[in-house]
Amino acid sequence: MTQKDPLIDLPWPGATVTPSEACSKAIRGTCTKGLCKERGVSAVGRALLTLGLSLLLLGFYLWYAVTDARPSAIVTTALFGAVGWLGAQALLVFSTLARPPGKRGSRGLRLALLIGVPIAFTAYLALVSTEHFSFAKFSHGYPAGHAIGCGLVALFFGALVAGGAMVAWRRTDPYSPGLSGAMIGMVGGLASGAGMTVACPSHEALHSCFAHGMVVFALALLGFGFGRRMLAP
Amino acid sequence: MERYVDGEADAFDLLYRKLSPTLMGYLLRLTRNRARAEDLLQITFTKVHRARASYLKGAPVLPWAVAIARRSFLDERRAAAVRNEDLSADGSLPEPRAEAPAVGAEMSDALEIALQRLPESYREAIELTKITGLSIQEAASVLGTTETAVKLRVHRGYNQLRKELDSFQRAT
Repeated sequence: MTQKDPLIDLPWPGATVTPSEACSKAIRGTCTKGLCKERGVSAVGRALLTLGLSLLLLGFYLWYAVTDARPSAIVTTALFGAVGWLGAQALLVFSTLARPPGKRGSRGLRLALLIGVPIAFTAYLALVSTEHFSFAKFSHGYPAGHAIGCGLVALFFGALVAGGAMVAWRRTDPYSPGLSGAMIGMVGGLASGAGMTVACPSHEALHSCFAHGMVVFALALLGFGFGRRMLAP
Repeated sequence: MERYVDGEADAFDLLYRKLSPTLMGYLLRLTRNRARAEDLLQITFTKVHRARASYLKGAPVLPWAVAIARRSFLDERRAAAVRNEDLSADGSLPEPRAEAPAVGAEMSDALEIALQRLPESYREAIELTKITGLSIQEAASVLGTTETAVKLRVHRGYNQLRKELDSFQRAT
């Protein structure tokens, strides 16, 4: 049974007000001056562009791993994982961003994805690691320096992917640009973090989680900030 | 919207005729100042114009435009707060104070005053759903919150409105 509006009998104020003639004229002048066909890329096109950037980055990391003569068995295993995470990125992009704004899934669902996916990715990195240092050993000397370097490289390339995707999705979401930006940042982070497992010589658990996994959290946060500026019309 | 994106000026006129009265009404309710509302209407349509190539096919146009208008209003209010111009002591734009309804005043005046007295979140939810005519889902998108939160705000706002109007009726 539908609930009756308890205030239906009230004299609600009118919803519409006609703007002044001068205002209407100014708006018409601005919005029709040199008007020409300007159809942008479709949502699917933007989604494919985003995934193309991720694929390009994975290709770059793979090229680096091959030219740096990494053991092929390790590279192949890491590559399977990275391709799996590329599939996860495709799912994320098509189920949230590639739909018109307002139909991109509930806010709660997207927040859950923004929290759950980076945690799942970090857990995956910890599980597939073949070495385990104590935190004391990891936080000093070469392992610490290597982790910082790796993290910065992953952050840089992830930011390139996320930045490119952000440009592709520019001005598309007036409702929740921050959330959409965070989603794009997370996709960039996943692309870079998963790609780094192919290129990076270290397969130590703490290194993977801190240097490769944290990139996803960092880029999701950065994406939230930049998305509010870039994705809103 | 599709035809406007394709560059048809007539389509813009049609779009403008359909959207502008609702957007102007919405902005006027937010700003309570006609000149400011018209400025914001111009900003909103300029943004719509600039974003037309990014408009994703299938997105409902009215909530899309209302969301742009609301964001323009919030940006303007934030900028005004930084400029520290025309602000009341609490940092918000000055609004006409809701006066107690005079005995014998019309019910519509009382409703208008009662609406102004509501907390901003309740008022926005009621105005978008009851006056602008958006669905709960569209209002939730525009406000950047969940449908449940909008329903709750509308419900609480209704209760508060009912109390205010009951006291008005008793007074008259």
